[in-house]
Amino acid sequence: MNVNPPMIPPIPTPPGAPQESVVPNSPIADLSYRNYDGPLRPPIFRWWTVCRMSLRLLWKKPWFWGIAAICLFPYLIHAIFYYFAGSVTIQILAIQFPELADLPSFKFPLQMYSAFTGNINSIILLTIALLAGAGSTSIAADNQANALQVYLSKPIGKGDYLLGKWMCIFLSVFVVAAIPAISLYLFFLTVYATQGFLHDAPWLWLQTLAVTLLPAAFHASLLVGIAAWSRSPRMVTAIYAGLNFITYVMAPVLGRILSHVYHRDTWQNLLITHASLQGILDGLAQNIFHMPDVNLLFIRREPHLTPMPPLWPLVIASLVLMGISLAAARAKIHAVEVVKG
Amino acid sequence: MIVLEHASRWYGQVIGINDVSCRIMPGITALLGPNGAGKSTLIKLITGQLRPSTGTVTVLGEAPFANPRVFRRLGYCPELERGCDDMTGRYFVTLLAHMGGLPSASIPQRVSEVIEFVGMTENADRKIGGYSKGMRQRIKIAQGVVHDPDVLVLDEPLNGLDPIGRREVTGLLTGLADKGKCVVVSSHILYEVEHLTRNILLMNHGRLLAQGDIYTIRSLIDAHPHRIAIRSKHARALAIHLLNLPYVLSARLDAPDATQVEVETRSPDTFYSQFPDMVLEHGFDITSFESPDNNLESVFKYLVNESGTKATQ
Amino acid sequence: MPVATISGLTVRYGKKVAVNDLSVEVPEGCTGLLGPNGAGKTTLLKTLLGFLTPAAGSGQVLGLDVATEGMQIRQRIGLMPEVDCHIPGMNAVTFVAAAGELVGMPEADAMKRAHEVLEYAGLGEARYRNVETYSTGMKQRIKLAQALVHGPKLLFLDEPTNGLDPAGREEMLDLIRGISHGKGINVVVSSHLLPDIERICDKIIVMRQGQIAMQGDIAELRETHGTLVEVELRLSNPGFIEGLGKYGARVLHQSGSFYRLRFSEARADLGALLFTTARGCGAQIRGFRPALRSLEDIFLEVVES
Repeated sequence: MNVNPPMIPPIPTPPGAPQESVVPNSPIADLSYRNYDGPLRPPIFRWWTVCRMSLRLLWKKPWFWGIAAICLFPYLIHAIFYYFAGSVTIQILAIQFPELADLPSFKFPLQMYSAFTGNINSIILLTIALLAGAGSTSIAADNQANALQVYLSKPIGKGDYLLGKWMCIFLSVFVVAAIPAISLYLFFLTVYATQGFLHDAPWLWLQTLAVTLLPAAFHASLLVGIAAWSRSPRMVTAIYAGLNFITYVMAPVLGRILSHVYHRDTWQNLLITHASLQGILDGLAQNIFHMPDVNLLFIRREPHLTPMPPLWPLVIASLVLMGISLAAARAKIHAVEVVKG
Repeated sequence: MIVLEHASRWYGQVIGINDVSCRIMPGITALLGPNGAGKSTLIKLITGQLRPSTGTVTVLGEAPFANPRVFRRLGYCPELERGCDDMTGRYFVTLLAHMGGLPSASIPQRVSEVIEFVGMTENADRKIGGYSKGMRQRIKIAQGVVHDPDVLVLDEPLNGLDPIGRREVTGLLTGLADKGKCVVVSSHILYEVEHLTRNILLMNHGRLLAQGDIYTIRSLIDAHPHRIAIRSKHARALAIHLLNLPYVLSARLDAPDATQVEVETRSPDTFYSQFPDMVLEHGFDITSFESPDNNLESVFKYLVNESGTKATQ
Repeated sequence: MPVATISGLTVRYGKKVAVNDLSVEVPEGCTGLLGPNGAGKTTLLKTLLGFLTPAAGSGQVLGLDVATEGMQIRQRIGLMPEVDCHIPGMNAVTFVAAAGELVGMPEADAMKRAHEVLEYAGLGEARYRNVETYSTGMKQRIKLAQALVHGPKLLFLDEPTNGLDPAGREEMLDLIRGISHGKGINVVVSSHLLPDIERICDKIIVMRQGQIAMQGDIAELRETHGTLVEVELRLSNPGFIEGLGKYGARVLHQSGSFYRLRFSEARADLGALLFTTARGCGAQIRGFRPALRSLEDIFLEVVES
């Protein structure tokens, strides 16, 4: 008993579409299960899928961008400050610290470095990292929800999964750190190009990029390591924030105690002052910008210029920490729990 | 042994159970109902974790809430599985034996007995964290019976057990019931409940829908007359004859060449006494006949769906 | 043509041998995987998914080698795990679409297909809510949906009715039956609930202590060729049994007024015989049928021998 289908013009099948008849044979549609015969991409770059999923979840939240916007302020203030009072400050500083006058390309890197290592900035970047790495997109949340059973039963490897999660934190922190910094750079470029900006600081753009990559990679690696071993996103937040805070407070205190005990200010003491998570990042930033520690906006009590900490111990420390975290994460990720017995 | 009289319990605005009155006697009683029916609330009231908002709950003659005298004679095997992963099975049962009020000297012996009773002697000294689901169930039962309670309440005790384990635990529970204990089992797996007991407590939306023997309940469900499915080569001819009988309400065939006819009647007894005579008289060849809805699953479906439709009207 | 083949498989966890020299062919259609706890079902499953490297032996699933082509296998099969699992922070649609993208579907296809599969699984408006707010029944459905989204040719279901109330269980079994019959999808169901297996599967594989104890067609295994009969009387009546005894019937099992009888040979006139005997000793028959061996009996026999 065939009923003629109603007179509708047939829909042209676009090329490459699945081979199914578009005009149905019967007026009642068949809603039972239908197979999928469409394209399936091979498992290359699967980490990008994981990353994209996490980023979508994270970047949809309005308060993420709200917090990120706060990062703009230190740079904005530095731009305004430099625009109105620029060289005056440098001259004042040059009087107080004659050694600074010897450094040829001092002004612009100083501004950039100072804006970057301002306290607000590092707190914001840490917050962003925590949101990305210890929130609902984190590996800890996945552990809590047994998401690995879903992930690893698909054609995706451990490495892809970890890289995707790492990339999510990395990109979030990097974007929030880099955009204001690059804006400041462009401001300097447009305003001071004729006054020798490019001549004075030819590598500033590279330094800026390097310095904004730093906290992104560092936080990403450590958070991935910690989150992989936890089932509770809140614990990860608490642990990482706690670690940052405690080491940041204790390290300078320790350094100062030691310098008083041994009555000298050696490079080892300086290193110990930087022996905190944030301290490593600050120290590396100092080295990249080739800066002693000068705080433009918040003047210290003693007119004391702390020199740069030595580079290689910092590099080794950061690489070791990152390496251990990533190895720990890789060791912990596995698909199905084995019940013994 | 367990008596509820007009017991209700709500959490803020949300109703847990509503005006439930029942008596649970020794033997196995199955507590059934869809998710959210109020079974957990009822269990919590009976095991003394909650007080009823109105009405009374009495277990072994006393109100069970925070009552050590009742707790000493009550055993509870909850559905939860987390929390004790670091202890060994033996330690866990010993701990609960102490809490159950057994005299300290007799505990090690009793714990070993009970562990053997549930078949966990080999694994008792391993950490619970490494147990499979089935093993956890057995240890839970062990801790529930270690102090030889008179009332035992089990929430989904057969969950995760393989068929062998299921048979063993069913045997355990039947054994306990035979000794005169009152065993209340809450389960979703109806065919297992049918093997355990015929006595049920069916709940939905916080109300008690039915209590008692499955078959008695079934015969009282008027809205759904008894269905009897008869298989025969002469299904159609049989159907015509059956419709001649006054108490047969309908006869249904599924296809033009059907080999099965399904009749409905409100007087199954009369049907069963007259049907054989009719068959032998006319020489019909009957392959089988049975009542497809005279079982727990149908009782459940009919009562729950009806209460569901009434609720949405 | 078998959907998966394993030959001589040996898998070890450290010193413990989980599976020893196992050979099995998983047939097409819907197969039940049965076995006591610890029999090696999970190990077999993980090997078929390409997660475990066997110490010895080989295997292939849908023509792909389990030791070297694990990724490709996982692209063509779907797994519905036993435990609750979901990706946090998402609603059902996003979750199922994400699962599809992880297999390699293009974004648009994944979204379209996610809706289709959720529709089939019976999730209506609820699909836009966060998965964390779902009831057990809904969580099971989306687990099934995420396994189906990429149109796999082979589906593994681990305890699909876990935690479901009776209504939910029926719906889930209907869903599974709808996929496995007539759509060309092969399904392997691992469950302890034998009536569920009876309802949806055509064949079974029984494992015991790391070996295959038995496999075969359910209908064939259960067939008793008319020699097994179940009779329910209104009241138990020993005279009835005696009367039948003359025709070669033996009681295998009795509970109350329900009897399971074995006849020495199948009787063509079973109905007439039972009615006549009942009339003769005043018993009232409330039902009788040629019985099949229950899957539970088959299982217990195999596993305990």
